[in-house]
Order: sequence, then structure tokens, then C-alpha cells
Amino acid sequence: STQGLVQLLANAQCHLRTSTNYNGVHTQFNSALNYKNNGTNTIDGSEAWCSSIVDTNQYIVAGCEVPRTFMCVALQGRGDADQWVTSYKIRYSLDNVSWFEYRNGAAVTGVTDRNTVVNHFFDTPIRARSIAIHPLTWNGHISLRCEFYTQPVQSSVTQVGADIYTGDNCALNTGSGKREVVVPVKFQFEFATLPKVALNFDQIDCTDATNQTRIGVQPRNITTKGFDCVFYTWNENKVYSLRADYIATALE
Amino acid sequence: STQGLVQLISNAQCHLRTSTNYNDVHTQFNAVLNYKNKGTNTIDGSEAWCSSIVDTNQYIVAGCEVPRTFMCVALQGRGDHDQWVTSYKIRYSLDNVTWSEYRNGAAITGVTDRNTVVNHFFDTPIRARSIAIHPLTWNNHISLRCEFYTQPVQSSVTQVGADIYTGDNCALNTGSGKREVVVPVKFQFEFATLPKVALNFDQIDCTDATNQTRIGVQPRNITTKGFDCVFYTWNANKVYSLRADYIATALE
Repeated sequence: STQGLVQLLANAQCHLRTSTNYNGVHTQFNSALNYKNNGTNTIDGSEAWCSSIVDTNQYIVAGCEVPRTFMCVALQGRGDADQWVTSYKIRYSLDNVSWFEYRNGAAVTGVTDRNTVVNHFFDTPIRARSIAIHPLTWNGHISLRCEFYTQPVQSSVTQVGADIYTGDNCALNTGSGKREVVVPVKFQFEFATLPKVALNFDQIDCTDATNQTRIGVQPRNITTKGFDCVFYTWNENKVYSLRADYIATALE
Repeated sequence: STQGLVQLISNAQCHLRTSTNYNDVHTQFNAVLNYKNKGTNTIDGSEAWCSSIVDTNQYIVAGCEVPRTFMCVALQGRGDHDQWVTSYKIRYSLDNVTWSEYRNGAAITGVTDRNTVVNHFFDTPIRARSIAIHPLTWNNHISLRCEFYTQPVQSSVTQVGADIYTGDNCALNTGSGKREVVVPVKFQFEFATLPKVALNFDQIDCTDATNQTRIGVQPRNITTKGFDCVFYTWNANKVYSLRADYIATALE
């Protein structure tokens, strides 16, 4: 099912390029699934992308700047003429240097009329930045409307910060029981979504009460703008100072 | 104010798709704010995007592959005709699966002449990958020039490296006072901007002189290509070996 998948063309999430266009109103602009023109305007062109050259070297290629997981390709004929693609092959590239042929270039079944949409689910998801439909056989002319379905993408943004420090001879160096030192940290810029924060020690200066090391560091009150870095110890331990770095990553 | 914001269309930072185009010289190519043609060339088309079908199902959609924070939309009429959009609604999507309507689809006031630009600042910033203008009412024809204003984006690139090691029985295991072991580290690939580097211990083998642990690790001489990883101890402490991992992130 295409439920929960991204319609790449409909969402304007890719660049589109074609091998040739029949003319200026038969271009990739008209290639989205179910593209419909105004029936009475005679100069708004075709309800499909239509190639100019009609041979097996024609194609339409969708390019993304971020890698995508392609799950399915949908094909449809031309809405305003008896032109459609009856079979095609799929080519794709992840690094945009090397290209691969899906099923070793074997023909994928296309459509047999103007408006019926035929989905082809890939045998396994295709990880790619660019993907192309290469018509192999057709009825009347190489004309098609199409869609690529991909998994939604996650973007991650990471910020790193160094040297969160308790200070010398900090409050953990006296007393006993659970004690903490809180150091507020501000991110370099505000995240768009709530980040996860990893903390680690990069300097440790502490005693080992009865041969037991007891030190910890935790983020508290994480917001998109920053967090409180909580250094702590417990029992009889004395801690002269601790220093930590953070790695904060937000997904969306 | 739009000061400091990104003009998305003007900067070619988005894909543009339209529901229909009047013909091949009335497309999204002509949709940018203040688009002007050559007055004496009769075939360079409209000073606006002009739909072919004229009804409330028309739209122009801008798609970005990285999430953006949309602050404002600007609308303008067609420069070479008395055609403009008097009201419209905004739709948007962050995941490109679910779409939302700004103000529940309520009409936003458009323009009342050919060339006056009317900005609409969103009630709250809209976080989205794709955003669309849907004209609701118009003067003579659905024709518009437009712009989307977003916050500038920050991209982060992160590289992680494991197992930076002092070696067995390292120089920190003899002597006293401040001592260090420097391990040069090269990133897998060169960063475009200077990264921040976080370091953490992932193995510790040290004595506790007079019950005090004293170890630290710090990056030094950070460049886009690598850094020196400095392991150190001080006082009378002896350290047989230390091992660290790094997380380096560059923003731009």
C-alpha cells in the first residue's frame, strides 16, 4: 500500500528532467499523476509528459538532494489522447556517479489506457538520490503521468559543545550524600525540535571513597535552546572537578 | 519585517509545481516577485504564473527537501494585465504525508492591483517542507507572483571516530606533575567549516594516587582536517592507558 508514503512529484520534493519534450506545453510540468488541463483552452498542452523523439532512449528522471527510499512507482497514460507507455525499465543512482538498472533492466508492465493508474512496488526498497523511468514500449506516443512513492525522510541536526565545567574545588568536594552542581548550557542556535542530548566526561578529578568511584552527569530541563548539565556524586565521595562535552541531535 | 529572512523562490531554494499553466510561457518560471518581461518581445509570456483552469482547485506549491521555518508569504499581481488574486489560503506539510491548512483554511487577503506586493506574516512560524498557495478569489484570472520568506537554515555535518589510544604503558605511567600524550587524529573527510569536537573516554586504566583520580582528554589544534587528541594527568598520578572516541560537528 502507498499509505503513509510520500508522493514525491505531488509534494514538489524533487527536480524533474526529461530527455526531450514534444513542445513547451508537453513537458514534465504536466507529468504529475492525474494532471488535468482546461478542456477549452487549446494552448495549455497535454495531460502528460510527451517526448519529442519516440524511441527507447527517452526518459524522465526525478532527482533529490537528500537520499530517499523508493518503495513504488505509479504510471498513468495521457489524459487527452490515446497515448500511454505499456512497459518501461527503472534506473537509479545513489551517489549520482554510478547508475543501476532495476531487475537488470527487465521490462516492468505499464498501462493499457489513458487514466488507469498502475502501481509497481519495488521488489526491495531502492535507496537513491535520482531515479528514472525509461519507456520501452508504448501505444501511440511516449506519453506518461507518473509518481514516485518514498518513505518519509528524517533530517537530523547536531550540535556539539565542549568543556562544560563544574569549576575548581566545586561543591561536590565537600559534604556527603547526594550532591550536585548544575551548569546551564545554551546551544549555539535554537533547534526546531526537542533534541536528545548525550553527555560524557572528558576530565575527571575525584577521590575514591573506600575505593569506590562515584560520579555522574545528566542533562535536565532540555529545551530547544539549551539544558541544565547536572554533575553529581553521592555517599562519602569528594569530587574536586568534572568536565563534560555534549552532543545534541534533533530529528524531524 | 522580512529583514534577514531567505527569499525562497528568488534564491532557487525550492522546487515549484503548479496545478495547471495557461501555456508554456505562463508557468512557474514567471512566478517570482517583480518578474518583468521584455515589453517588445511578444512571445516571452506573462509577468506572472497564470493557471489554465480557473477555479478554486488551482495552486502553486513550493517544495524543500530540508525542513524550513516559514515566516511570511508575499503576493503580487500580474505585471502586464489586470489579473490578480484577491484572497487565498495556505496549505503546508512537514512530512509530506499529512497536509495542514493555515488558519483552518481561512481566506488571507490578497492584492488589489498589478504590482503592489502584500506581505502576510504567519501568526506563528510554519515548520514545513512543502507549502502551497491556493487562490480563492481573483480579479479576471488566477495570475500571481509570489515569494516565501523563511529563516536561514543551518546544516550540520557530523563525523564520529572511535578508539583514539594512548598505547599500552604510555608516558603518563611514569613521572609526576602535568604530563600529556598527544595522538594526532585525521577526520575521514575534510570538513567545509571548522568543527567542534567532543571527546569522551571509552577505556580507563589508571591508579588513584592518594585516592584521587586525575585524568583528562582535550582536542588541540582543531582544523577542518583533524586535531591533536591530548590525554593528560597531573600530580603524582600514574595512568597505564586511556582510550577515547570523538564526535566532530561542523555547522554552516
